[in-house]
Amino acid sequence: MTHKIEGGCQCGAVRYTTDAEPMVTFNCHCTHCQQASGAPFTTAVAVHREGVTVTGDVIEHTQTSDLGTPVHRFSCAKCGAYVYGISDGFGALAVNAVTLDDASWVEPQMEVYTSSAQPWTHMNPALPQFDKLPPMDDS
Amino acid sequence: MSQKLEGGCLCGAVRYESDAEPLFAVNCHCRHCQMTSGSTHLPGIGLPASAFTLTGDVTQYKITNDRGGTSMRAFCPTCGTPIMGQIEGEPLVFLHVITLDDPSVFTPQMDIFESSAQHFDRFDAAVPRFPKMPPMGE
Repeated sequence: MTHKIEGGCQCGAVRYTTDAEPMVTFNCHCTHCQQASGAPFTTAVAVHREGVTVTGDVIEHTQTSDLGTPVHRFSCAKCGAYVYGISDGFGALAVNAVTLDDASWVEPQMEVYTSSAQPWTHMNPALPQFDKLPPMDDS
Repeated sequence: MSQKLEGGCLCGAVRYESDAEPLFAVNCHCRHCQMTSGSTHLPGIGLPASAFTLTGDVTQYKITNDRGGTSMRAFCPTCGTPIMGQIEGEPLVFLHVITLDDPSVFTPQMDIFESSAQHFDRFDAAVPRFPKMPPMGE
């Protein structure tokens, strides 16, 4: 089944689109996601970075992740909506699911960075939880 | 939450403080909160605007809300962190609690605007929910 990754911010100034299929959908509780969003976690859909087209002016804020690699966050310069992030450690761009034009198919597969989750947040007990990132195959 | 509340944005350009007791503590699932945060809901506390001091430049974004009024969000123009919202004419600040230096003090009293919640969002069964705003005394 094809899930179209297409969406944007609330004022319409920033839009993104790609023909790539989503790689993984997750709830991220890391401190950077919390601070960039103003929310306890983000629900993010990761896609291959190549092939994603973004239009409109964005505010880019870059931090160093716990892996030592840069993570870039992008918000609309006009309405402030936090739209997507890019981690240089992976070949992925992660759009925030609520900014998709059609988020009806979104189903988070895991909770990550639960070690920094807020004590009052409410997780789905049916999902696998990882203190930081899940183990990844390097091969 | 009787201590002084202090917080700010990701890059530190915007800081705020308040000595007031929060008037309410909610999880808001409205589309405006979703799009501002890029998340499924925004946990926020209501503070008297008169007891809220903000330093640093913010960019304001205004929309027409579901009651026909004007709602505003303020975010840091350097790092983008959404800090707070206000409804025009109301003496309240809706502060995004994650931006507090210590967000652990938050205890939500209710979930509001459940009618626009995403199907992949999650709720605490012990917390009351309202389709939009809770009934309010006149």
